Amino acid sequence: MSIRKKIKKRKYAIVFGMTVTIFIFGLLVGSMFTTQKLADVRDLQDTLRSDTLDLEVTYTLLEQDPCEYVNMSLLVEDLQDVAERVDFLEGELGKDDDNVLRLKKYYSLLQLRQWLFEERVRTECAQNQSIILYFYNNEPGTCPSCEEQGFILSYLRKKYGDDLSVYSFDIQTQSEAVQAVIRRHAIEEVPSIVLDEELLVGFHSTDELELLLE
Amino acid sequence: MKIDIGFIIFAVAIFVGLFFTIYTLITVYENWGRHRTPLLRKKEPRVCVIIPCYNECLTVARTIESVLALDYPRRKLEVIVVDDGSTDDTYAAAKKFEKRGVTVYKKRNGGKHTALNFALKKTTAPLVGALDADSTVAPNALRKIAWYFRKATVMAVTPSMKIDIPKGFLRRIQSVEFILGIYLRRVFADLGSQHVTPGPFTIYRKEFFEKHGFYRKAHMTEDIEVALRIQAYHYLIENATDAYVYTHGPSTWNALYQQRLRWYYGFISNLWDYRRLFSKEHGNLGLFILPMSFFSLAILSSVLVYTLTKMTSSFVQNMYQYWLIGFDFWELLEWNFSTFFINTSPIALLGIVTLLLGVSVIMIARFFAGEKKILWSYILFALFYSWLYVFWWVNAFFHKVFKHKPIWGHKSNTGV
Repeated sequence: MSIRKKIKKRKYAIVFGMTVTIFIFGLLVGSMFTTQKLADVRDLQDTLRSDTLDLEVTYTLLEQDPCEYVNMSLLVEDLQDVAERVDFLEGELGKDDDNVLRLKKYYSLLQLRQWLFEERVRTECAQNQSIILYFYNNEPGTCPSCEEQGFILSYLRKKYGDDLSVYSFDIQTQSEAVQAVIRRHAIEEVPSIVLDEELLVGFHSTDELELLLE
Repeated sequence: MKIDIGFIIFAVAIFVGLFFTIYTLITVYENWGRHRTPLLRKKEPRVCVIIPCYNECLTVARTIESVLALDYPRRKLEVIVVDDGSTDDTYAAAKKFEKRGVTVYKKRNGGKHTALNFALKKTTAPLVGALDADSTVAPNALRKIAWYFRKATVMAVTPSMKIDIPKGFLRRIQSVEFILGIYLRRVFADLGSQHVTPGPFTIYRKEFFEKHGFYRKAHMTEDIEVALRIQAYHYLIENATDAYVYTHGPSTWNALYQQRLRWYYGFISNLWDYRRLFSKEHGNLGLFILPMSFFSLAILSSVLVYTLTKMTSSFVQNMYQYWLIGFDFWELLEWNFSTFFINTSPIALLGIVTLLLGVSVIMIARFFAGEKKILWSYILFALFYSWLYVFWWVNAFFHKVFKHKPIWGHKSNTGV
C-alpha cells in the first residue's frame, strides 16, 4: 500500500533551464543599460568640450569687455553633471573597469581645461572667487580620510556656489596633464588641497577650510 | 559589473529564489485539476475529533462548538475532549457539552501526546484528528478533507491554517506567514513531500497508528514526528487546500518566540532522528524539499547579515560625514534626479523579476487562503518577517547544538 516516490528529472531540468535563461537575459539587459549609460556620459563630455571651446574662443575674439559676456556657470553645472555620472558608473562598474578609467581620464582633462580658463578669466577680469584643487586616491585602503575630505569639499562647493570652484583629481589617473599638475604643485601625500596656490597637506576640517576661505 | 561578495550573495540568492519559485508555480499549475474535489456527500467514514486541552477554560467551548457545527452526519462524528490535568475550570467547561454527545475525560498531566494517545485508545473510528483548544474549524472542512481519503495510500490529510483575527503587529505578520504556508503546503503535497502536518485538524487514518505506533513525545512536536514517520513508511500525505482551520496565534513577542523556538527545535530534532529521509528513495522530499529548507535558510541568513552590515556601516559613515559639516543639511539638498541614476545592474533587474514572481505567489496563496483584503499586513511582513525568521532559527540551532531544550509551557490561554 505504500507509494514509490519518483523524481521527474525532466521538470527539474526544465526549471533550471528557465532560471538560467532568465539570468542570462538579466545580464544582457543590464549590459545594454550600461552601454547606453556610458554612451550618454561620453555624449555629455563631448558636448561640454565643444561648449567650452565655444566660450574660450568667444572670450578671445571679443575685444571690448569680454568679461561682461563670459559666464562660466553653465559650464560649471555641466561639468558637475558629468562628475556625478562618472562617479555613479564607477560605483556600478568598479574602479578598475576600462570604460570607467577612460571616462575618468576624459573628465580630468575637461576639469583641467575649465580650471585653466577660470584662472585666466579670474586674473584678467579681476574676479574674486576661490579655486580649490583637490588631490585624492580612492583605491581602498590608501587614503582613509579622502572620502570624508571629498564630502566636505562638495558641501563647501554647494554652500558657496559661484564663490568657490573645486576641481578634484585622482592621483592614479594615467594622464600626462594630470601628472603634470601633480608635479607642479609638489603633491606627495593624499588628501592634498591647493587653495588659491597655497598647499594644504592632509585632512582639513570644515571649520579650518572655511576660515581659510574668508 | 562589479563582482564582489555582495554580488555573489545576491546572485546565488536570486538564482535559488527564482528556481524555487518557478518550480512551485509549475507544480501548482500541473496539479490544479487534481484539487477540484467535490465535498464527500455519501458513505462518510466515521471520524473522531480529539480536543486535548490544558488550562484553556476560556476557549475550549468555542472549539467544541465549531466541531459540533461541522457539516457532517452527527452519528459519524465522535468528539472526545481530554483534559490533561488542568488546574482551572477546563473540565467543567467541557463537561457542559456531554449532553450534546461529547465525551469528556480528565487525566493526570502528561503532555499533549499522552492526551492524544489516551483518546486514540478509546475510539474505533477509522479516521482521527485533533483540534487544539485555541483553534476553530470551518463547517465544510471535514467533508473536504474526507474526500482525499478515497485513495488507500493516503495516511493523512492536512487543512489550511489561518490566523482568525489578524489584528495587531505580530498577528498581521503571522497571518501573511500562514498564507504563504498554505501555498507551500499545497506545493509539498503535490510533490508528495509534505513533512509537517499542522496539529490542528490534520486528519489521519487510525490504521497508521495501529500499525506503526501511537504518538511519541518527539521533542514536544509530536505532529512533526508523525508526518516524518508517515513519509518514512512511504505513505502519502495530501492537502485539502480549501479546508480551513483557524488559530489565534501568539500576540506577544515572548510567546511567539517561545512557540517558534519549540517548533523549529522540534523540527531540527525530529529531522535528525529521521535523517534517513535525505535520500534518493524519498524522491522530491529527500533530494529537493528537505535540503532546500536548510539551504534557503543559509542563503537568507547570508543576505540579511550582509544587508545589515552594509546598512549599519553606511549609516555610521553618513552620520560621521554629516557631523563633519556640522549637520548643515540644507546645503546638501539638491533635486537633480535623472533616470540615469536608477540602478540597472543585472542584480537589480533580476531582483525585480524575482519580486514580480513573488507577487504572483502571494496572489495564488491568497486565492488558496480565500483572502480578499488587508494590504497593510503584507508590507509589515515584507519588512520584518525575514529578520524574525532567521532570528528564531538561529536560536533554535543554538539551543540544539548546546543541548538546551526550549521550555514547553503547556498550552495556555496565551495561545503558545
